[in-house]
Amino acid sequence: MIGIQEFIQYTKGQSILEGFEPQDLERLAALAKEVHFKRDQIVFREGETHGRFYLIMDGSVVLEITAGGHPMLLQTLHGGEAMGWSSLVDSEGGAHFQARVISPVRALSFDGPSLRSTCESDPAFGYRMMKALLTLVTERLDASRMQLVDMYSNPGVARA
Amino acid sequence: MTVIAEPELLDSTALADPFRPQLARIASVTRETSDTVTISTELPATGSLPQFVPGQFSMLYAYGAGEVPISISGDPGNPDRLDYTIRSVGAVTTALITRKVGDYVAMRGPFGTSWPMEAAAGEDVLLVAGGIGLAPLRPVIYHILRHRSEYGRLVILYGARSPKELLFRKELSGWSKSPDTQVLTTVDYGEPSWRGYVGVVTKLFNFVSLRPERTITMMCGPEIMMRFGIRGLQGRKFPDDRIYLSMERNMKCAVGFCGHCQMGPYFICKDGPVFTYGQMRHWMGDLREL
Repeated sequence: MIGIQEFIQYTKGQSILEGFEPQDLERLAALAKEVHFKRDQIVFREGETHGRFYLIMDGSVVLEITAGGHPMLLQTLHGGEAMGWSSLVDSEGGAHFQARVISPVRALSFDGPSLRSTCESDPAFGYRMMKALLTLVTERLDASRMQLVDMYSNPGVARA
Repeated sequence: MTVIAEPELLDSTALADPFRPQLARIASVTRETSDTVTISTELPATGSLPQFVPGQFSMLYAYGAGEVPISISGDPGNPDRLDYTIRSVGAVTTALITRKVGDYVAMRGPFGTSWPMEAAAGEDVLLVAGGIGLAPLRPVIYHILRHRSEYGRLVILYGARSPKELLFRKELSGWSKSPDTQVLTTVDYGEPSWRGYVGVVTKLFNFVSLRPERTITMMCGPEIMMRFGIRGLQGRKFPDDRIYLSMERNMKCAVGFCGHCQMGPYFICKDGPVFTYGQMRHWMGDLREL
């Protein structure tokens, strides 16, 4: 748990928390724990049931997956972004990707089941939390679709 | 407040004979990636190369293969060479990139409108490039770095498919050391040794701080990327008429006669390729084939 003033200072400008009421931030602060990760440290491994949701304050993390025996880097996450959101909707399922630190990270860590339980006991808070989560997931989905389109592949047009 | 001009139009039809090609000798060939090379051309001793402005393109003819439009990617301040960065996407471009030093290509042009270098004077400049789209923007970078005091902050955001497919890697590194210049690159898929950003180029907007009302944006890349880019800029309150795009369509004549490159009321070859987003707003994303 961290103090509310500290929490507000840490999360200032984090777009994921826009739209939250002051009492929401107090709830989140009560569940938050400040954590640090060193370069190359694994935050969670593919398939691992880590049950944590993170708000990154500083530093960078890469989400990667092993394909054909080789790691493939899919996305980097930086200050102001979140990771481990699947822990809010499914505490049993393992992580879909591995998260590895590429520059030292300072983050707020939340216990996924506790946060979900808070959402269920206070539906108004839960709605705002899920709305924030949906915004995050939509952004990720848009980015994934753009990657899936493979728009930089051979364009098949003359002026190239 | 700066008055934003339409992309600067050069009347291609006023060229002596826009259909008559000149022979140009390939003076150097630089391999950029596995499928992309830059050829630097010069004219035989008696001729002088046509002047160009950033954003323009030429029609390059490879004998026995055909003719294609290729953006000029070199330095507008170097009148002795015209550079073209060419990606192999078909028979003609493959023929062009396999030409060697001393070979000849035929060239028509330069054609088309320019990036808004005059309108951008005194302003911050944001360049957003994807894939081969960095090539038509490279003359802008050369121009700004050559006239550094005339422009504000320069931000270059560049996305490619993978680290191996980044163009001008050494130059990107050099540009990032230039005064008041920020260069961020990202790839869709990284390799283990890659330490940069991974993700779509539009995500890089989160990592730069610009004043929308004092920034001219120039964007070139796949149309899908540009549509997402525009959405990202609009979300950050960048005015439509300060966003410039280089459009791409199948060009043939290059002077607005044949109609192959028509997009709405515009011929991309003659009225473009550089347009404001305000001009293109109703036509981008139109799925109808014209």
